[in-house]
Amino acid sequence: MSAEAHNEHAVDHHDDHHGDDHDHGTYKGYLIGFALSVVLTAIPFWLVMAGVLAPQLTGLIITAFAVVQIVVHMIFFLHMNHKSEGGWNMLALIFTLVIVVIAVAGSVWVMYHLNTNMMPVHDMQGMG
Amino acid sequence: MGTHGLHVTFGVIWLVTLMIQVGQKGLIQANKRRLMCLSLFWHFLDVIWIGVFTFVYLFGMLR
Repeated sequence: MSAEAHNEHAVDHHDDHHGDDHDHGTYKGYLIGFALSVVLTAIPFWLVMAGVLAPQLTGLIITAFAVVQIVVHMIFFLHMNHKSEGGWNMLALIFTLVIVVIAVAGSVWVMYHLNTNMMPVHDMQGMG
Repeated sequence: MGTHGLHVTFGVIWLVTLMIQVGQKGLIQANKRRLMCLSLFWHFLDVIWIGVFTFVYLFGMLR
């Protein structure tokens, strides 16, 4: 909730702003978000279609662009910042990231060690 | 992929419904709340789209 949004409520309709005290962003903010999204989509698209770099490097770069674009969307479209909802949004985001990193990294780790950690199949034969 | 398409389909239905509601009743408080919910849903979907575009389409072209 920005000071701007707060002022608007105070002037216009401070009686019935119940459940509506969120930051709605500005027209300019949406335009900036849109322009950034277009650029951050066009560059990876061009990199892949033109094939100017090695596939591994291209993969790394387009992943980085995706991460940056997700942050852009969260700031300009979902209106998340370190102050929204009195800081609780940020805490929830950090909690989400911790859980996602544990789930994804843990899954990848388990899957890459399946061969060594699974019981060998040939030992199971004749045990039925 | 199919799940994302289904989400977008329902998002579009929701969007049209809300456009009609806003058209009929204007920007009343209830419609503002509905718009807030829809924007949360819709922009969550475009965050998902970034992942789908990068990992399905772009990575699919890399190999």
